Amino acid sequence: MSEINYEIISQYLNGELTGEALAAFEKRMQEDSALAAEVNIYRIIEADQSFFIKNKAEKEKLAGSLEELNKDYFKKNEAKVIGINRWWYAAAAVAAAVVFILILRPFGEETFDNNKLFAYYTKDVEPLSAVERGANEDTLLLQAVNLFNKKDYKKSLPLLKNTLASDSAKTDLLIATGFCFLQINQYDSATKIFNYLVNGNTVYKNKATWYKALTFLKKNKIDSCYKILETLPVDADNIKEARELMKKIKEKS
Amino acid sequence: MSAHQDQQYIEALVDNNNLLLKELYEKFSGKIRNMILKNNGTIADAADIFQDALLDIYQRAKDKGFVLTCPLDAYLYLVCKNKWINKLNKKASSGVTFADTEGYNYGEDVFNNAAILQNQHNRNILLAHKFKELGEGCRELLELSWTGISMMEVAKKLQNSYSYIKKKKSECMGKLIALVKKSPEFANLQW
Repeated sequence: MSEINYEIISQYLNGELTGEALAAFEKRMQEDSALAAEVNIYRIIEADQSFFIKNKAEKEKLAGSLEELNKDYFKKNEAKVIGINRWWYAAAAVAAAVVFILILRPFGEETFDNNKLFAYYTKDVEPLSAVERGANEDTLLLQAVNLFNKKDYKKSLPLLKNTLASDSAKTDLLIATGFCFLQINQYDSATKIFNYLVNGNTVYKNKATWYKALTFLKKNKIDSCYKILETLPVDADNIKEARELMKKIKEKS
Repeated sequence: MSAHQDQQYIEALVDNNNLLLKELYEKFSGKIRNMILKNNGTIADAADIFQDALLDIYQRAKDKGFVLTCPLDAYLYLVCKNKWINKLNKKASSGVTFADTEGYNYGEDVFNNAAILQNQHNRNILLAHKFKELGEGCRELLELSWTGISMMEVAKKLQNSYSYIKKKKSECMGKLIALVKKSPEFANLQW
């Protein structure tokens, strides 16, 4: 490679070379791969640095937005912070509840009803699908699924149990079975299934945690319910409902 | 290849759309936090790595029109994982071990996209570093020229002739390229 003339590279990249000069330079690049590589590096550095400078303000603005979100989603010393502030939360919650009861609910309506809350959080359960696993012929399973989706948990349960007996690896059916147990107040059987899934590594891990919390809610063991809710990761499907429920529990206590 | 539905989050980065960014955090930050915490990191490390990855993705999307064709989930995880392993490697005297907290099967495009992003990031760092080694005159001239104004205006601002400034700029670029090429990191980068 002959000595590099960066001025010509610059002219070439700015479209200032024309006619014979342009043809000659392009021919040289074809023959001299080192020159071609140098042109490429020149182009990339210019492009990268121009981008960097032109978008500096915008990037900083985005970084600012992300930092704000970091405060919410990557909380430092999470436990400690809550510990210090718990009294304030509690005091604020009590004050809010008092205001709520005195001003908005003058007739002393029940503000925390575990059964109502349970019904509320279980009214939109994700329907089961039999088609996904290509089991259209499996009438027993189809029946179980249909009954489950119609919220007839009592009738769906024995059919689900039967299907599971032949294939316990179907975790979607397993969690549905646990849910049926929960609905008909067979808490021990329900909890056994949810614990199994909570400790496992399936896609239903978080869902099972949520249901386990709802089991405690239905049993009116609110403290345990709260503790389980606290273990849900922020990316859990039910995190919004969980936070809402935690808030309600906090307000109650 | 058509865009993945998670492309909306890439656009949210470009548009600084707070509502969607919040959703992005809601959906994806937990897995990254777990991964860093399980691998000798702190919550602050997790926040840094996550933010750094998002800023890299922003740059690629804004500058190169990057369109996401794979789920953001696995992509973000791999990008953050690579960043964290690099950071651990810098601290450790011997090789680091890494425990995966998610069992992703990365497709080829996830791997390629993560590698491109890492290359872009490393190039940025090297360039910023080498730029500082230039003399003040070169730094001022190059920075002005990169703001998008014409070389004529650059010349006016620096109170010099157009032809001198143009010649000087290519000289400065030559110096910067030489510095970059001399660095040990250069051989590991794609250009």
